[in-house]
Amino acid sequence: MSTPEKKETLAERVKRQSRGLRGTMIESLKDEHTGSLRSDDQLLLKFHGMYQQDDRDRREERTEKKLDRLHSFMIRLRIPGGMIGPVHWESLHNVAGENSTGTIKITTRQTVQLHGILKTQIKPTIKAFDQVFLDSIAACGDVNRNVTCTSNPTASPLHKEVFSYAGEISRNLLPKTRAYYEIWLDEKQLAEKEEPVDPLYKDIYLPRKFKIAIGIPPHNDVDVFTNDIGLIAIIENDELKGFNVAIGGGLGTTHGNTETYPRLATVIGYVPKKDILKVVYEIVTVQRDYGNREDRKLSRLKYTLDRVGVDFYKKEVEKRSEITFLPPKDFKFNTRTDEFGWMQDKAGNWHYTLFVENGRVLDEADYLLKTALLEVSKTRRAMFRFTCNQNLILSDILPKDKTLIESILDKYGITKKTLEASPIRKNSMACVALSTCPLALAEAQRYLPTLVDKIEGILMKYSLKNEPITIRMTGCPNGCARPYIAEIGLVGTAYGKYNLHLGADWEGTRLNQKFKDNLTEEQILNELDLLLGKFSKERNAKESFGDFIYKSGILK
Amino acid sequence: MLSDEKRNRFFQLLKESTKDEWVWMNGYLSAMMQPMPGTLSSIPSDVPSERVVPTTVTTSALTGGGSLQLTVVYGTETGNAKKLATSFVKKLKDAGHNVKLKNTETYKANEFDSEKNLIVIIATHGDGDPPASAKNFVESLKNRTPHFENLNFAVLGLGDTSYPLFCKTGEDVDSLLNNLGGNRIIPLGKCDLDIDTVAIPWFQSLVTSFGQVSISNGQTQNVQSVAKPTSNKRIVYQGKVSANIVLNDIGASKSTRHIEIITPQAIEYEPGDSAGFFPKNTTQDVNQILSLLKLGKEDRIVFANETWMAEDLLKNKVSIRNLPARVIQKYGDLVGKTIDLKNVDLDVLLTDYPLNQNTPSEKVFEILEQMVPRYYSIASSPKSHGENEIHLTVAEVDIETKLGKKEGLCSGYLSAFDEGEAVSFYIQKNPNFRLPPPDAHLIMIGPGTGIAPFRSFLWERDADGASGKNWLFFGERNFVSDFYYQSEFLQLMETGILQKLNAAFSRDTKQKVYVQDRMEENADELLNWIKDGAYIYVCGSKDPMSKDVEKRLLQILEKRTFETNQSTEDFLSTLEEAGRYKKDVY
Repeated sequence: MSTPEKKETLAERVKRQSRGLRGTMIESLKDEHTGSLRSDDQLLLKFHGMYQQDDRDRREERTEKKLDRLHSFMIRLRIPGGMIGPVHWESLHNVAGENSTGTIKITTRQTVQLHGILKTQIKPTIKAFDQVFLDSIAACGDVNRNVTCTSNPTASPLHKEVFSYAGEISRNLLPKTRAYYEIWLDEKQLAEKEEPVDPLYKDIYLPRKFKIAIGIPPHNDVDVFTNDIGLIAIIENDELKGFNVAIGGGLGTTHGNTETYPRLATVIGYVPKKDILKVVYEIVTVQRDYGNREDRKLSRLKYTLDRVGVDFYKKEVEKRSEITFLPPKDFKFNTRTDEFGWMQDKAGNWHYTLFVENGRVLDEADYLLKTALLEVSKTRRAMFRFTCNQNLILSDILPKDKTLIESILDKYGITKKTLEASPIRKNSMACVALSTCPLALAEAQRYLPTLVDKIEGILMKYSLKNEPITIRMTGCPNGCARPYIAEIGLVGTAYGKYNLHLGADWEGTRLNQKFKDNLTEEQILNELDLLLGKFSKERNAKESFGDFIYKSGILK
Repeated sequence: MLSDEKRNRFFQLLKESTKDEWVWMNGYLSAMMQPMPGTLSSIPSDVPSERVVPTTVTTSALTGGGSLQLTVVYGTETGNAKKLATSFVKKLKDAGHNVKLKNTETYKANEFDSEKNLIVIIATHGDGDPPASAKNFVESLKNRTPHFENLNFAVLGLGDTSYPLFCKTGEDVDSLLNNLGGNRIIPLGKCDLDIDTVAIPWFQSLVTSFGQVSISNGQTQNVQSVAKPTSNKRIVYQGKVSANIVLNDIGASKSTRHIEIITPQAIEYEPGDSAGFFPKNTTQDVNQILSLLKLGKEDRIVFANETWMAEDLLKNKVSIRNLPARVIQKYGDLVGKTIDLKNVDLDVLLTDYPLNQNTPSEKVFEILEQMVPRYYSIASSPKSHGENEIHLTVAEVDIETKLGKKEGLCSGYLSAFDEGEAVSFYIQKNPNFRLPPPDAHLIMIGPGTGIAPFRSFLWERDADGASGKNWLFFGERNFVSDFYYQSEFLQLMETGILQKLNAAFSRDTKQKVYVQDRMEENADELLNWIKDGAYIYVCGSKDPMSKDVEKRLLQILEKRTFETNQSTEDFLSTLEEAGRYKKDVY
């Protein structure tokens, strides 16, 4: 249904002319005069799971020194369901130290990112990951991204089965081009004519990014309704029966553009598990064909859905998949936050969820988290699962090995840190923002921890220090750390200024609303002081801060 | 010819007369020898009462020698000796002599044997060395054993009194020729930067001793300027530092600065030229030496017939770093010891070999020499950056001495300038390192600070709208922090001035890469450019860089498919002779 008569945007032209996402990437890598890729290749790079960035802190001084920007690359791995083994973690540790800034960033969608990789180090990085069968294919770009799945291993005895769907869906929706292997892994290129056209992506790919999550009630750690497709596992009588399908979630907005808005996914029906892959596939093809390719700000599935209508979209999916949606089944989410500390599953195995502030794994003077995790990985006695809250679960630890792992965690102070961090801190999330994200208007991960210090002070004042409030900060309105569905959302507008959003619910089924614009730290703290004071006095027993604010009427 | 009495009177008259008076006498006599235009061919009886315009050459041989067979051979560094020699040859030819003009660079050792009258015009380079092009010439004289049977010679040296060994090469050649049995026609002439002052009378004296009375070829005014080298009189510019930035990013393992100096008057320079500076000694060194010599800052010292205050002398006049062997030797004599040190600084020398108690400190100053200038290739383009400024690329150097770390003298001197501070400099022309014709392709190999003249070249070519293609090879330690002028080169690539830029960063990878490796990687394309007439320029460190580059260039040229009738070495020599392979290395 693509209409070639309409004017083609730059992004669409680059995709179409890319010859299966190859572009002039190989030539770009050979350019010795710059650490940057050629401009079209910068766009295509995303499909390979990387972004070109530069150190914004160095821009001004390097210009004075007649030096080009300090270009570097971010790589994001494709880890469906967010689980890797200890061998993978050790490799990640080494590759990070060898080729990047060294910090391993756990993202808000259950994977990891490395920053600061120079152009000449990209291939060695990808080759090293390839050795342990890790890749970054389609981790970014106008394709289906990482598929997330509720990470709590005690979520259900059927967790493993549900989890397997994450991998299946990811593989199903991968681009078929060999470009990744040719460019980064020196695979020999077949004659171009021989490579068949990608049946799903053709030569146009999707209009925009596409995100899929699987949630296992009652855990909504994946924030299932913020995804283009949210699947809710329906388990009956200890058996995975199928999934409720929700479509049209997406949070990104543009400041000052009222045509853009955050949206939660709409549940359109239930599908037995045998049919789920087909249905997911066709939801993607409908977006491919109907999505807006003229204005990238209005390209996400949520806008397509609101434009053509839920009924139309649903019918189109049914037509293409030849599967009819059944009425959705009942489900209930209770929580979105991670369960910290030790837990044991039905099989008797142990899992430890540790708090990683803003997902940043590194060694600091007084806290050697990265060293600790390396040591754990070397025991080979635990799996590594990333949560959508940027935390880490050391999982599937056999009972006989619990003491060993525990001793390492104690030795490095990890147990202490997880125990002592306040609930609000443990529920805080921030995107990367400065110094590497080119879109950042304000700080996020470099600033939120100190703001939380101050908010903790306010909570103390009102005897609320154990109140588990979700607080999320982003440097721009794209909302990569999901601030629009936090009880306290802070969205950067300019350096040192944020819009304050309030009133989302605990379970992740209600968006928050913007309360005030362009606040400085002082103003933010003043507002929160007032509201938390009110909350402490007037709340009902089990009422969440978000619900309290929502009901209070101040968000009109 | 003349009687003794007359000859003595004649020479006495010459001795008492000024240059201008010689010229008048010369002109008068030549006119006396000529029929006046439009008159009878007889010597006019009136005494001319005004200057006349001599015309053609007379070959009347008062000595009876007639036309002489002469060779004028020049050994040049910056082109002045060649200009001078060429001009002399023209005059001598006009005077009817059989003159050959030769270059020391191509002068073969056996040619000496066929010489009858040999005039040598030879420059001295730096601290008493012959120019590169004259090295072999001087060597072959040193190594020669058979005496000359019948050789007349005269030597004119060109030099710079800034250097202690003023006109040393001229002296060497003069004494070598003499010791080998040659007949000195006239004594050695030694020209300072203001060449004419000595060159003209010297040449006159030479010609006179041939028995020629006139060598005129035109206006008397012309005779006055026998040779027409551009006056090498040093113009010292008083400038102000307008920028001094470190080009390396934070975290670099070295520091190289971009320094801009502006002047109120226009600076006469071309791309490829250098700027000369007389650095001042450091306060630390000065105080150290005052202390070692037990001198007060204001103690009076005589140096080169001038009286100085000790501190001022040490700071501004004398050379106290990296002392040459001859100075160390003299010091050894002073303290009565054999000193085994080489290239030491004065403070180390005084520390290791202190003066005897009863030797006055002033004695040390008798053996010291004055400060020698240092040169930096200019990195700016007159057309692009304007005539009122020059830019420099200065690498800060750390030197380990017995008494601790020191900075390189001139790099330290320049690096310390704040914006707004005054600094003087002069231009050292470099006629052997000029831009090729605008339509010629240009390959530039300039790692480290060798990039400086190529920045000048590229911006000048940009301003000129030169159509020739440009290819730059750059090298340094680390890509992220040491890519000097990277953003400018990227801009020049975007505007289509710079076609190709290859860079090697030796410390970025386990196995070191250098510019010559990049050349080899691009051998095919490089050969295409050379086939199309490209010029190859190399600038930067002499050892090992320029040697390694040349070695690799030869290896690359070995694979060429054109001009295969010559050996590769010969082919490169051909390029060099055609001016298509140039080096500015230090």
